[in-house]
Amino acid sequence: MVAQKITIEPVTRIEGHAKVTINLNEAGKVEHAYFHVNEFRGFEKFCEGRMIFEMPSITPRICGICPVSHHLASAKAGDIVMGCPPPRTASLLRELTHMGQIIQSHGMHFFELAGPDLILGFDADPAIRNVVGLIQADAGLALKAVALRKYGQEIIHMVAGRRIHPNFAIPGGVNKALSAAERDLMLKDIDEMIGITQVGLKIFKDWAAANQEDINKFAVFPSGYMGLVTPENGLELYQGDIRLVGQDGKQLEKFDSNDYLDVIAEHVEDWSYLKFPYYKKMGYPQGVYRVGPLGRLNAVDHLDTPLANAEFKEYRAMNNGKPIENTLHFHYSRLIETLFAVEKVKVLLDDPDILGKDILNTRHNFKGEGVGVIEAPRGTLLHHYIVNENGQVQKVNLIVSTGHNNWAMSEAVDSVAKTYITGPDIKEGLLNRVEAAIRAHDPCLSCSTHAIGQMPMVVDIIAADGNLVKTLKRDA
Amino acid sequence: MKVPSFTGGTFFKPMEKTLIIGYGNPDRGDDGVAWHLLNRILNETGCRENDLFASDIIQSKQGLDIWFNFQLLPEMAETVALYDRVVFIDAHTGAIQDEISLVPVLPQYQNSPLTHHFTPSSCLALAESLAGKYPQAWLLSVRGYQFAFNRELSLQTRALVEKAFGILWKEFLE
Repeated sequence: MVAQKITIEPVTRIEGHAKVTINLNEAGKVEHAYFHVNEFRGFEKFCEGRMIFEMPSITPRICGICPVSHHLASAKAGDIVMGCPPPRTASLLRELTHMGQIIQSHGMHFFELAGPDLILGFDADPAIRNVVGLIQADAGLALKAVALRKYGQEIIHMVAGRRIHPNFAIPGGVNKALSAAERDLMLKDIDEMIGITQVGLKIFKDWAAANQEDINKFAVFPSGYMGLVTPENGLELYQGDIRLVGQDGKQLEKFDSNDYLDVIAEHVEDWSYLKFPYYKKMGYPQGVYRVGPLGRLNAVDHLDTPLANAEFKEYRAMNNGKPIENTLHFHYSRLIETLFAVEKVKVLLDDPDILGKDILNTRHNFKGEGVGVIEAPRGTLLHHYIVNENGQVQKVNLIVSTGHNNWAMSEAVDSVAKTYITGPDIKEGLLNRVEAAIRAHDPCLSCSTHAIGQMPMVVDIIAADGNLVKTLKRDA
Repeated sequence: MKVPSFTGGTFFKPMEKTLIIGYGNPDRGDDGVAWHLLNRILNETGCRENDLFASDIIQSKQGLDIWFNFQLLPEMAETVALYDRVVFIDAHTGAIQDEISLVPVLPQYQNSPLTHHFTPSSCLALAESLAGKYPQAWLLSVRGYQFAFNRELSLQTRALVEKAFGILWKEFLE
């Protein structure tokens, strides 16, 4: 049997953003699998020449999925560039908006994207393996899922004032204070949202208990882990130092975001447009790490909210306190973070300063350069700006969350392909597992374009001599 | 151009409640064609509320609401279910042959293989599941030619906007 190549290419929206290539050897086994990102991101160039105060409004347009994260990271970079740290009330309001983003994004991912795989099964008919199938299976659960996501969206709307293209955070603070009535409205539903998140956690834990074998053979591999932390190494999603831990969970670095270039470098592969960040001191690929929910919970020692911390203890006990390496536990960690974010909303709203009117620092001490960092739903997001004395942006560097996980996604695809695919006769359920390996990371590949032109999922099996052996398609 | 046979003008009751949802990224060239079309509607109806980014649903005229978003979102399904008819507006690539396409949409959930992507059919399916009903719906899409970081439409797509507006007006807004 000659060596073959299988290509899985979901051509979403424009020309296609990512594909998977699986090379089979002559024995029909998987030799290696790659996850390619085809889209070239030119957003940095687009920003050059713009005014620094415009950046928090421009950068959310990078992504339709997490505009708030870009908005806030940009404003934080602007705080440093302009030398105008925001008043405490402004920081609280920004963090509250961010929690809304975490809740809505994580909520959607679990209940509407990953949940159907888990609840209905990887091998379930694709026609029902979706949120509608989920509703048919459990209508109450689906309604809860929609309510959770909507709650996150409403926080953003209420605090930031606009649903899309927020212009709320600006260098030095925010432009809208919170009223007591708005605070009370958000507080009213907290307990219900905590309950919904706990239902999600129970679903995952029940599923995990019944599918331990799958979890333990589905893309389990060591790596470093990275995320923002509090001074006491607790989970932090808005403001803190970045902590990088090794495969054993021990701290390698804890650094200010402004020093990221001393710690992180980016490797280039000729088969992907997306770079591969790694820990400089260890080199590539030894220094690769994971971010996002799994990376974050492996990089912290505790969580500062009681219910989420109790879940965290149980979670970390699974591997006796050592880092959790299982890709499918991205889902588990995502739910724990959702619980943390909902509890954090209450903490923030109970803080009397949240209703303060001192929301903007107008005294500038121009620095000309700054790095804004935030934990976006998918992981650490860095905005680095260099600005001239006229306030015009001269240089921009963005390291997006999906970039940090680039190596991990490819490694997960390789691992799953080797575990589950034994030849060119690939069943839909196996394909779904390969996709699920990527989906677990909740990547943001498509950025902000939505044009129709969606092609079916295509699997090409190509022999070593270049001949197409077989093409598999299914509706995307 | 594909026009469904049942949109001949007599099919609808006069005071049906219509929602036009436009989505896409106005800063990615032709991807934002829906934003341009919705602004065209606001101009035509003389609506005073005209900031599509800042507003939620805008009542453009009696019985006609418009709603702009970066993308379709699952929670929009709840709102969609409240209307008698809904027109989704989007851009399309060369994968669709016609320069302007108007097709009816029926509820059918479509999985997004890798990431967050929600289609009009999925939106209707979710509306039906959540509310037990869904509106009559169409997807009006306009061919996009360039998707770079730019708020301007390409010359080709710009030329299609007025044509698409004419169709929209005749079929749904008069």
